[in-house]
Amino acid sequence: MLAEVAVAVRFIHQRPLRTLITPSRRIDWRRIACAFALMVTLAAASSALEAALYPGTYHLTSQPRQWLTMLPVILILTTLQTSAEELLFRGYLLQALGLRTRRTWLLVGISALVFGAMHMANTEVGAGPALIFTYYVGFGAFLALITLRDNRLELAIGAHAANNLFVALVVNATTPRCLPAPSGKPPTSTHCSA
Amino acid sequence: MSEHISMPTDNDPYPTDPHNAKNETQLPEYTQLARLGRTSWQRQVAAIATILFFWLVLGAAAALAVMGSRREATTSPHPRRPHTSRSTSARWRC
Repeated sequence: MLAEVAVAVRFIHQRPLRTLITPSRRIDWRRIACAFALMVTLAAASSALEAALYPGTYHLTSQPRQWLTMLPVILILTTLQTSAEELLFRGYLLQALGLRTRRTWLLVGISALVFGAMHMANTEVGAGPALIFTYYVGFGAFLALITLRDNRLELAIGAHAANNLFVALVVNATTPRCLPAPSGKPPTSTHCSA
Repeated sequence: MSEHISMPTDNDPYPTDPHNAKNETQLPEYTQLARLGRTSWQRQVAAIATILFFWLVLGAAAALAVMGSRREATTSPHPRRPHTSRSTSARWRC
């Protein structure tokens, strides 16, 4: 996905790939780190709160050896995947729509709906398609909104990476095809890898 | 958000706001950055076709390759996993 966006932007539209991320001359790595830290904190706090309010919702499925084996793969692939999705949905798509309209709600709505639709083939969707589609559209709208408000993509990149890494490494739905995480949840979980 | 629009051009992608007392560089609006490149409809169609080709065709080919290798691993006559049954390998030979 990274390759397709890079080819489209660099060779077809003939502009730097950096313009998908920021209008300034440099990528702000501190923004990515801040959004990552904030999102991990929020996800951990919400999971802890849910576990405290509804005991039994979470259960430990610890497989340390398998987890450590997969850790570098997950760190690399998930970061690449979330960055590619951000470049495509909040970067390329938002900017392409920006050529046609400047209405914030339209930009946010279309990009969020496309983002949600593209995730409907995920394994966890079977547990509750309407709920999970709503979650994806909501998450996509949130990421699009912070991109538009901040006038750059770094916050969305950090937040998306944090969400997916938290889901992959810490709390995951216990669907058969999910990778093992230290703690599992039933597939109706609101934590989905977007 | 839209009251600070500063339209970038090919010659000046980072235009300066003349009303800014400090004469700081005003960043262009994020959603207008596509104007820094070429945006003809032919290029947009080509870009979308490229993205869909990479995503659907090459992505599906990669997925099928992975599925094929998995299937081969489970039905191989010389399986790496000791619990693979003989009947499975017989199906492979047919």
